[in-house]
Amino acid sequence: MKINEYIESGVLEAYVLGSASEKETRELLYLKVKYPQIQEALQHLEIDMERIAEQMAIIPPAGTWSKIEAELNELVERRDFESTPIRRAPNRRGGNHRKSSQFIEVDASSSHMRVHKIWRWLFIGVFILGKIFLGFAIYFYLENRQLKEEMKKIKTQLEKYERQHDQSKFK
Amino acid sequence: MLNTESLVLIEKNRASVRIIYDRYGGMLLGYLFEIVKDRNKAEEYLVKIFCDISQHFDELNWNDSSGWCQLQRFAKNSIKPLTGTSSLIKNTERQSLLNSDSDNKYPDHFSQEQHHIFYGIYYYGKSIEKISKELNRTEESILKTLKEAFSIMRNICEN
Repeated sequence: MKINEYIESGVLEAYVLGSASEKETRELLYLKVKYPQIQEALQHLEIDMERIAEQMAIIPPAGTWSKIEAELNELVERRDFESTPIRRAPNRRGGNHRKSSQFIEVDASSSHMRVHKIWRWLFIGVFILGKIFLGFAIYFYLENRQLKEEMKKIKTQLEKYERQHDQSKFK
Repeated sequence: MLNTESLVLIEKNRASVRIIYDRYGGMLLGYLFEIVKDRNKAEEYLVKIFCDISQHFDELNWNDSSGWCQLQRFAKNSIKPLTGTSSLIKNTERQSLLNSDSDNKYPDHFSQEQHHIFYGIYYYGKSIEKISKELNRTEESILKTLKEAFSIMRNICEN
């Protein structure tokens, strides 16, 4: 390959300006490693480019860096805010909870609370036990009431018999 | 939305980005001004580009080639979505090709063709193929003219 012809072809200039095709770029990157002349020519061109840009430079207004910093701070703050757990929307169905999550997350701005999955089964167990106890309570209450009524009846009958017995005694 | 890695990069690279800004900020603003022909807009793009650099700092290989060339290529890609579809760039391009009103002294020494080719590639990011179609010339002759434009600018710089 004729290196000088390649250097003079203008491909190096196109590469430095960022308009070389992918194929040209690949070829150039390969050749610059192989041929030091190409590497050297490329470095000269880059220095030229820098010098040209220096001549056309405009001093940025005094507050430009502050604007960049403010923009960067905003990006960081926005992200921090978004990544805070209380910002997450509460999942009403509870189906998309991460399995590894072991904590209760409380959303300060919401009336909802997210809890560990295990609480679902505990709540179901407590509910069923509550129903069983309620059933027993009603059963024993009714039974107790019935017994009281029967006792009242027996007591009345007993009093009646006692009265009859006393009357027959006086006769 | 930014991922955590980008945020770590922003914090880690803030000092390095400041060094790049001090070194190339003025050059980049001059470059952007030539594209948009509006100082406020150019400054706005400058801020955006440096924010993008903070997030992608490690992807750029600052040691492999000149910092300015890296930055210029990055800037070209970074502002493409902002300017690519707007009529602003087309108007400034037309204005720049017809009559340069900036402090840029190079166009005075360029032929119309050299001006068209250099500005088309350097500022408006056109490919060699596109310019060769526009001017109805071979890609080889476009590259030759580009090289001539470079020689002119180099001579001006040296004198």
